[in-house]
Amino acid sequence: MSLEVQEIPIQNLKKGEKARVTELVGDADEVARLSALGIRKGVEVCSLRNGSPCIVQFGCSRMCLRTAGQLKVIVSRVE
Amino acid sequence: MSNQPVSAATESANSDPSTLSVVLLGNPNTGKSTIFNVLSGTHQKTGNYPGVTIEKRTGRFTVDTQSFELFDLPGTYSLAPRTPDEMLSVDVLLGKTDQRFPDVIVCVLDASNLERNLFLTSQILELHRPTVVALNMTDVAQRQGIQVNVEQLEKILGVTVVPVQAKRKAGIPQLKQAILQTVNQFPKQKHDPFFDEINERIRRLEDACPTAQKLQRFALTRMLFDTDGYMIEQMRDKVNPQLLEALVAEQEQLKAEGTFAESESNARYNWIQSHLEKVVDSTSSSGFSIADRVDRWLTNPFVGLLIAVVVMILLFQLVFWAAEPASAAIDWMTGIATNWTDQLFIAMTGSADGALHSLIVNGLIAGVGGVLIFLPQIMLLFLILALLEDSGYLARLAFLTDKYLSLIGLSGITLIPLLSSFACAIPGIMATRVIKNERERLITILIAPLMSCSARLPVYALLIAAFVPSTTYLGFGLQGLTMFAMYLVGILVAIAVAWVLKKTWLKTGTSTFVMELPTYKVPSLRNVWRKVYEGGAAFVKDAGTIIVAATIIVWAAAYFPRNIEQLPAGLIEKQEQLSIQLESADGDLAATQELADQLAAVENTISAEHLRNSYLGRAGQLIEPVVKPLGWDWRIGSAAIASFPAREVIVSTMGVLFGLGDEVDEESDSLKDSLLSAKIDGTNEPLFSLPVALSIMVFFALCAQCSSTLAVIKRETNSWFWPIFTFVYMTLLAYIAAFLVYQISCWIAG
Repeated sequence: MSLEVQEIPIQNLKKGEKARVTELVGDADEVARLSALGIRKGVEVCSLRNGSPCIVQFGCSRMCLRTAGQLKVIVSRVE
Repeated sequence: MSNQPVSAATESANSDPSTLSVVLLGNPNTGKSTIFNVLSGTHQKTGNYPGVTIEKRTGRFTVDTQSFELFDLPGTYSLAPRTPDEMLSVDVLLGKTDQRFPDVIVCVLDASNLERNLFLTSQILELHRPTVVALNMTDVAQRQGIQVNVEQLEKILGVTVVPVQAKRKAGIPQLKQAILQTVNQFPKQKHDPFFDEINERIRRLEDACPTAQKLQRFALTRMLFDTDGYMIEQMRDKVNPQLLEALVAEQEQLKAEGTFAESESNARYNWIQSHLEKVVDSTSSSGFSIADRVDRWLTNPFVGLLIAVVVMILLFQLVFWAAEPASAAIDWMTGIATNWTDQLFIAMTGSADGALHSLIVNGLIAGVGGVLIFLPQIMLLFLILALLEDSGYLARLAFLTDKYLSLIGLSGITLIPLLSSFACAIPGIMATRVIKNERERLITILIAPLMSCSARLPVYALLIAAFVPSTTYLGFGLQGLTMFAMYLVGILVAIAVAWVLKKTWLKTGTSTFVMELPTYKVPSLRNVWRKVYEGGAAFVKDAGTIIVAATIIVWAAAYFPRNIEQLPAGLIEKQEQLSIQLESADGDLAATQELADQLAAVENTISAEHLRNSYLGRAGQLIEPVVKPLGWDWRIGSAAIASFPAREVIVSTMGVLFGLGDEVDEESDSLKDSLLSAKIDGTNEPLFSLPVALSIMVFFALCAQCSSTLAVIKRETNSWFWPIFTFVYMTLLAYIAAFLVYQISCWIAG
């Protein structure tokens, strides 16, 4: 059973922590770009390196990500 | 489904009807380039798409008796399209670029990451054109415990799927056969990943098109999900007011529902996930592999950066010494060529003298030979960059540097064009098209020519070998460190320029940085070799054309008018007198040597006087006051000015100038020796010293001496202002920096 905790920006996840993307906020173009790459609502991610930029793994993909401006990737931790 | 291209082109209207067109499309890092190289072998060429600067790579191959022309499209994750690269892919697929549809589309998938790769496939399948899927890297997938059910995948996609391991050439004959079989074979079913609600929206858009101007469903879908208006703008001439109104209405509704930005990806990924279970059998453990452990160190903000700096220093050391034997061999060959020419002239005319002899020996052999010596180093540089890129390490470097690049208005993504510029600024500037933010892209274009390209390498290598002591500190050679320092000068100045531009003229906030970290791979030898070969071939082509032309012009300007009357009185008589004395000298070796030395000294003075009185000499002396503060004489100044069209010309120009001046050692064929023995006019003091060499190198590190780069900046920015700006700011900076380096190093040297 997964225990949902508070929602935080993806870069604030600790190294090794798993989380589920709950929301993508920001410019439609940027949100569309991220979601086309697979970073989209409902996807489970694992933080490999926190901070900005961070490295996250989801599925078989590994992405570096540094959000800027209005764009935010909000996640909630899962155990 | 309409089969007509989006423009008024006729379907598959080949210029050569017997050759069919195949386009290759896929995500980055899927081995697309390897498949392109394997399919087309040596039958490749690069050019530009009409009207855009995006590189057009084409190749040819034959299956049975049918010949195909293969087009390699830029690697992309989506056909959104948000960058010029992606727009080009859409244009090609819609038959806009060549006024014809591609006959077959080959979609390359990475078998180890099917979920994300199928996103692009889903977009391509919507075209409903003859398509083949090349399922690449099946070996990598197997190692990761991923099994793909090919039959099931074919059934879901409705097209032929061919498993391949491009690096080992496995599956390539089957892929070729599949391409042949797919000509005129449309997918078995129409691809529909959307829910009813989206389908309804697309149907309404179809209805809004006038009958005479029906647009493809693919084009309508792309416009419906067009988040930044790029696609609608590009297709404006095809969009009637009725359709535009319908589009705006549909988009507004999606926005009101809060699903506009994510509708497409949600639909496609849902479709993918609903089928993936049937296709992929994964037994991979979530444990960390050795590569993951290595990656943990390589992406560590401190250790990783330290490793990166050490790797870079070692690579520059390698460039310096590994190419030495090959360079020496080319040097030896130019020596032989000079001797043969001398012998040929003596056999034909009785003496190795005269204008034609001078043109061949001092102009062509010394000039072009002097430049070709650096071919091994240039190929080594391309090799290193290709290995960094193909191994996946370049992406780690981009990650590590993003934090710092974002401080100057750039992002990690800009590192890739900037690193490419170390080979050549032209592909580097062209690679900036992956940068979405316009201002970030412009800053990258403006600073890319500051990265020390391969054409600067000959200048550095020549002057460092001649004037920097070959001592070592802590295991690092001083010569290699100096080379590294020259590269660093360009980087540091680029950082400063970018920061100033960001703070003043091109005020820009930081932009989002998203980049895939590909798995580490053993680089494909074929890909690496192609890059090395293309880099080397371009350099040799330059040496054979622009450098030959520049060399001949510089030689002529430095040789003529050659008026004997302008020589100081008595010199010619003294030369004749000494020649007669030398011929009639008896067996006294010491006396003969003395006479020979005197004759050589007089002949050198005559050569130097001729050079001073030449057209170039007179012009050079006019500009000498400007270059004097940099520690240069008129010869160095002339050589620097002659190399404004292409900087590598400096080596051949110096070869001509110091070869014609031939001041001391006529036996030596090496330009390095000529420079070492060059004297300040009218004195016995050496012209070159370490401060002079450093001043020249810094000038070349920063100056915009490349007309091709300026032309590419013009094309990429579509403005004359930016190339002129680049030329002015770089030349001014180069002059100031060379002045400071010379004055400070003279002061330190006391």
